[in-house]
Amino acid sequence: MPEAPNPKHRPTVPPPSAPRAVSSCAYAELDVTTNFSFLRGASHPDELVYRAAELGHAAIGVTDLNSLAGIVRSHQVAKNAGIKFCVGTRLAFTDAPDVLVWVENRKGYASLCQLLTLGKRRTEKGACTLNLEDLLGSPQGLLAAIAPQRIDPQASDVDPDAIKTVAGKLKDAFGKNLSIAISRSYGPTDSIILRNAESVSRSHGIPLLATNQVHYHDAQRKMLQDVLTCIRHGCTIQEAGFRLFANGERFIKPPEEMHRLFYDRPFALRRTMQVAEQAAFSLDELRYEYPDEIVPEGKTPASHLAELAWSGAAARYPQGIPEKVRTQIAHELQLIEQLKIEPYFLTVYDVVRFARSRGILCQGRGSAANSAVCYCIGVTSVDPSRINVLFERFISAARGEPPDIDIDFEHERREEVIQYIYEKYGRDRAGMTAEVITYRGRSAVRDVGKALGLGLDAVDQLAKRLDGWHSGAPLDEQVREAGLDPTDRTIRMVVALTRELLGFPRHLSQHVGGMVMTRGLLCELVPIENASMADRTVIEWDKDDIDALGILKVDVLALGMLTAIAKAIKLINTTHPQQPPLELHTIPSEDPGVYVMVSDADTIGVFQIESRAQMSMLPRLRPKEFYDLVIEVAIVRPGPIQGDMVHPYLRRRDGIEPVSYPRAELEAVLGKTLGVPLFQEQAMRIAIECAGFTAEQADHLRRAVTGFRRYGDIETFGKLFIEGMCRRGFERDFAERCFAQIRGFSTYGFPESHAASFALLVYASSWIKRYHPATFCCALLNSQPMGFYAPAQIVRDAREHGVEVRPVDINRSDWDCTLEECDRTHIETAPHSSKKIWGKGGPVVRLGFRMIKGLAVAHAQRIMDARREHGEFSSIDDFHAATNLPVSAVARLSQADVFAGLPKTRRVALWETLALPEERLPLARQGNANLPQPLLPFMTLGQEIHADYGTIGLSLKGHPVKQVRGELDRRKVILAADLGKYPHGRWVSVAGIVVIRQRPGTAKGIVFETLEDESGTLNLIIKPDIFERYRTAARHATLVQADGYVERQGKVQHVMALRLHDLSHLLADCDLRSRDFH
Amino acid sequence: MLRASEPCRRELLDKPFVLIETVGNRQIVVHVSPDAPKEIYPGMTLAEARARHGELLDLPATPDADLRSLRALGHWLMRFSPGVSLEPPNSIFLDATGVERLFGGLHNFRNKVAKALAGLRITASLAIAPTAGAAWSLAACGKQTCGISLDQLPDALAPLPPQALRLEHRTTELLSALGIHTIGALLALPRNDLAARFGPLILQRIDQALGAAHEPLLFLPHRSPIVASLEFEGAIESLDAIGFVVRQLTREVAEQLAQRGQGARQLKLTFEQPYGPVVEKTVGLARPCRNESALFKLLGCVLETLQSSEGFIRISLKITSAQPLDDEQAALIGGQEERNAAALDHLVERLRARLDCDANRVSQPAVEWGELVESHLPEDACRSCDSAAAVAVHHSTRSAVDLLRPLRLLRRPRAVQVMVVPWSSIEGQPISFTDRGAVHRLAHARGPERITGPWWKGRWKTRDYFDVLDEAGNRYWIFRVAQSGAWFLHGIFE
Repeated sequence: MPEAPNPKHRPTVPPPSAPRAVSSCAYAELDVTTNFSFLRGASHPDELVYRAAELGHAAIGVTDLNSLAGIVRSHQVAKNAGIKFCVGTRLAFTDAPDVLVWVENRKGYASLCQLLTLGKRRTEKGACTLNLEDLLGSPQGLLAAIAPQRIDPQASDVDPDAIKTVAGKLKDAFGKNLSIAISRSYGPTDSIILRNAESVSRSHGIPLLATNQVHYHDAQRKMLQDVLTCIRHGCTIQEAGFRLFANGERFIKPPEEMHRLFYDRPFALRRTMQVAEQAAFSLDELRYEYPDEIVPEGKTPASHLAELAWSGAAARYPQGIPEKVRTQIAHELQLIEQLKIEPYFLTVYDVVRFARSRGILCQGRGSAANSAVCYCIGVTSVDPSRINVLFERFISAARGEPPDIDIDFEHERREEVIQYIYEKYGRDRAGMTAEVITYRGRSAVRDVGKALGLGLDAVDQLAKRLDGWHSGAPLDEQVREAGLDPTDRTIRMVVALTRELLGFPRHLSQHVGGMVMTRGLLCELVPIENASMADRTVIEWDKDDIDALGILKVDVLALGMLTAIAKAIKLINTTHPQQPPLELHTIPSEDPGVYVMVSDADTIGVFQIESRAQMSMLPRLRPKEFYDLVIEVAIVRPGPIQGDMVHPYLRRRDGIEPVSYPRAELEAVLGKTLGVPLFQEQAMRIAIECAGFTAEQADHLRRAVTGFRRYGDIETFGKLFIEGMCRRGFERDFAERCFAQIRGFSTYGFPESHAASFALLVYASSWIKRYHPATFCCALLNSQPMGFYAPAQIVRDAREHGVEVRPVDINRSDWDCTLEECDRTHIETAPHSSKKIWGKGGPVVRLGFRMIKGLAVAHAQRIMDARREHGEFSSIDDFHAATNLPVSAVARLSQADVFAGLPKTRRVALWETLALPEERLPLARQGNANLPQPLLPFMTLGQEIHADYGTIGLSLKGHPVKQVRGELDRRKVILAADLGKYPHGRWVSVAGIVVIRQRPGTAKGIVFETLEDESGTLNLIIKPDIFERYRTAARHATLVQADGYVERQGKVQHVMALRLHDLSHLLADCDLRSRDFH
Repeated sequence: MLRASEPCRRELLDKPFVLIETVGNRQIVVHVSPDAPKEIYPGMTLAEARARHGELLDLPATPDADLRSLRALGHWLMRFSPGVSLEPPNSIFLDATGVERLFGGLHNFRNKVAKALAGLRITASLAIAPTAGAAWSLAACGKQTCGISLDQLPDALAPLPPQALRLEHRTTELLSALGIHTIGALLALPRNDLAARFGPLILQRIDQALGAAHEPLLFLPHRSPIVASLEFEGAIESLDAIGFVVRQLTREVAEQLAQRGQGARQLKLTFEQPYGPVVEKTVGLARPCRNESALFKLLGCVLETLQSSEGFIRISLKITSAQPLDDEQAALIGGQEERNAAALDHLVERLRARLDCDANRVSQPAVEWGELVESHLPEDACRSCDSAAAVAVHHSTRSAVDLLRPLRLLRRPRAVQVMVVPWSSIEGQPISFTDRGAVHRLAHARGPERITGPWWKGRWKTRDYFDVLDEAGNRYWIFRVAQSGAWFLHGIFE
């Protein structure tokens, strides 16, 4: 399951150890292409900046191609390295040679951003179309240099007239802020270009500027640069030819070397110093300002927020605000005022308020739940009086960054919220955050292999051997497994270059939901480009960049379960009009019935705890109160599992192991989790209490572990942490183990506040499932696709709980699934079910047209409209006359058996449908229904079930596995429901439809499969060697038989498969797709 | 009648493979080799197929080439029946009317065809039936029947699936949904209702299969080799006479070529002597041609090298290779450039015909085409190739650089001794070099131009090239290997 964060493969570059040597030769490299000129630059910004600092350059100017995407990183590293950084860009024009520009002041920066935005908005995503005219309009605050040598070696532009014509225009616009960039890259046409440049320089009075057209920090990267060029052109290195640079001179050269190269033109070197000095703009000058329309007239942000918080608190606690909460709110308000981030809270409040006004369910998640203020203004729902909040996890005074608030919205209605933000602030002031897509093992080896001319077959084999999450380059062993020779020269190069390419940005994509809003124009802050999605615009910076500059970002996320809960609540309120309307926060809390159900792992469809791993944990943990759910959510995570914290916790909970604390002061921190650290906050607290970290240091530690390099190196923190603990009298061994654990679960663990937010939804969905099972089923079906289970399993689970489910019917169904009143007293329940039938006698679920694959909403709407006008349809012809749907749509309907009530069997309905005219006059009847029907073969029950699965993905008529039970009996396959009768260790054969396939990243390649037969479900464990041996059966079979041993631990049982058989052919062409999670 | 699957490629015989078609950025399997696992079927994506079977080979589908092969096979099969009709993508009809007499019965006929196809390593399913439709149905279902009569047809076809009637995909899908799984069941349905539901094709196909409707087949036209010859009473010796005859023959073949819309790529002249051995002359063309005078000019070159003491009694001219040609159209639209290229081609053809008309005799061809190759390394920037057609014209951006290259490049760079300026700032500019004992004092040196070797071929060395002028006014191209400091002479400007 892809839940691990995108690993940030950034090579670690140590800051220069010695203080920066200032070279006696004055020079600043101002033409630097980083790898944010995607597939051009062959070094990370930090590598380039550090190298320039190390070599004693006076300054470095990054000029990526039509982009400012890499400047925030460069700026930060430059600050670290103590070198002056000049913000710049290389502008490519449709009608002129490239022009390098650097920024002199804030005004210039604004016009550069606007210029790039203009170029990007007028074309498609990722491209930029600029004409020279666009630049000439806004020369204030910018320094420019004509770059006669284009960035593509292919188009070596030596036409003297090209420079001459633009030189005049640019000179008029930029005056003495214009230069001509020249470089000595040992090319064949160097001297010609130089001569041209000099003649223009003389005739127009434009000074020359020395650069080295830097593409990488080290000469060794020439190879990678060549490979990147090949990837960009989609060719192999053998074919690349003149698209490659002829030599590897485009690295950062020492100033001495530059002086040697330009010994005869010292003025060109001096010019670099002038430009560097004049390009004084620093990103630190960007004073980000929060939008101000969120504060009503006559109030300050602080007073407004305080007012909202206190009035909210009063509403949240009608019995009076607890003292603890009161103190907390006061503390938070004070810190917020100190940091002046009230507008941030008010902005978020505004978004939430909008959602509420539209009836869109939303809830804050993540660390924001650590804030009592967020709770009081309605952004989060975790009661700070019920869990301990660690406000520093949310906001830190020292970090100087705005807090990060993530809000989940109903997934079907999130776009409304996004469009509201665009509308409220305007496209000039709001945009989506970018996400930098970087090379990982698989993509890197694929592209490098192709570029070096490896056969597609070999590349495939190599890429396949790389696990998706495995971040390294292929090892010798994997190369051998792929049938390739690791000593071969090309293979060695592929491996080495892949390793270098890892972590390189490849392109920009949009972040899942990060919206950025500004007070002034956003396009004066950062270039904006079109997204590939309609109506979306994206900025060039990702969330790290935004964080670094302290720009307001609100994460507007989509959560399917919120949609389902919203729909369920709406249904409950319409079916129970006499009761006061239910809301998310008025769901009765701490209901014992809910915890009984949850403890029995009867949680199909419930938020979070419906997965196989969660369901096998529930009977062991047996949650009895809300906080147990918080732990349940947090414990089945890669972090705690890898940190080996699950078993100690369970043992302590069961009383097998005494609860102990390595140190008394830890009791306060770890008390709630019985001495076992399960949450990120606890890790931070351990660092504070035991290793003597400050709150800020602890936060930096957390971020360092999650891959934010700018806060420092993990190892440095590790040393600090272990030393700190040792100094305070802990055993070194214990300290090291603690750090290993922190490292493990900081990456994949949940903060407590986040787990608590999720636990609320767990409880809410469990409550609905327990007390309104039909509604729950209906709401889940109407929110598909979401969650772990397919509609077939959701419906089956509902029926096992006594809920009656009725088929899609032309005269009864709507687009959505609906609830009907129960009109029968006797309902058959599934014979094998041991589940509680608390849905019996309650409302009945009527499946909706949305279940029919390939049916358009508009067509369903037409059916519903026609039915309202016309009344029930009496025949297919009647139906067609009233709706005039295309025959293909009617055929689809008849194959989905929706005319069964007329009554027309599938085949008869189809036969009649095919005779319908494609175009008919209104109200004209065909009347062919009276003709004698041909004798079409009857369908067996098995065929009916197949057809049901093929059209609506489930069948109410029976279970497909039941149809092949005869064959399964012959194979001595037992029922899933009977597995409990077999003792631990007994050899059994089981079979079923594969419902879920899962290969969790933490399970060392073990695959978990859930099989379903007519009696129930069971879990298979398949070890990697078995998986490989029975690859087809394991990966693709719809019906699988597994032979293996029963494994049982308490109430949890599964089959350890040793043999697998693909029995899919028994089900013929039945469409029973499992949901695969890898 | 016969239905053949597409010919197998030898190297693929022992491995399952799929043919793929690329649609957008999805690669879709369109054909699966017979030995591929069951779970791989046409319509799935290549990635999906690969996931199921890791060892799968994939090749791009080439429907055009397949059709050409099918046509070639059809022509080849004319040896069994004059009536051959193609049913793409993979079927061929042979008209078996009257062939019993030639082959000794239909069974023998079928066995002979089957054996011949097996000899070509073509897996085929053969069925003979009174109607083309029925033959297709039976062959498609692997029923290799023979000698069935018209009234036996309904029974023979009844158990076959409706797909065997060459119906549209949609129709067979619908029939399957209706539970109609055999032709028999289909025939049991009221005939009047079928067309209204499935369109007119279904009735046509049924009738064609059962003989109730005629199915016109489009037979392949006959193709005999293009050849012209003249025999003489007595041996003719004079070159003029021979020339006259060859001209006559050329006119004849040119006419035949024009009728077929083809142009010659290779011609063979055969001269028979009364007693001596037969003399054969073969001429190749760079591009197809059927212009009589052009062809004759070319053949005329051959005649110059013709030797005989006794004269010839028979001369024949055969087109051994031809290609479709519509050069009349090409001449109408083609610009000056095209005409120039054609003229150059003709020159080369004539030179070749003159200098090495017998290509087998000389190992090193006398006329070579040079082709520019994109490479920074000078010695790799050019290679010889067969014809001008392969030479692409895309060097405009390099023209400035090419001016700076010497006209003559030594096949192997020659080591020279060089004296350099003892001043590090200017890259060690050469001031004189000694080549095979001769000292060249340099008046001028331009450079260096630095070229890194193709590292992906394991050639890491970097060269610094200098464009130098000696005091005698000769211009050379010398380079220093950066890693070793050794100097070489690589080219001479003229």
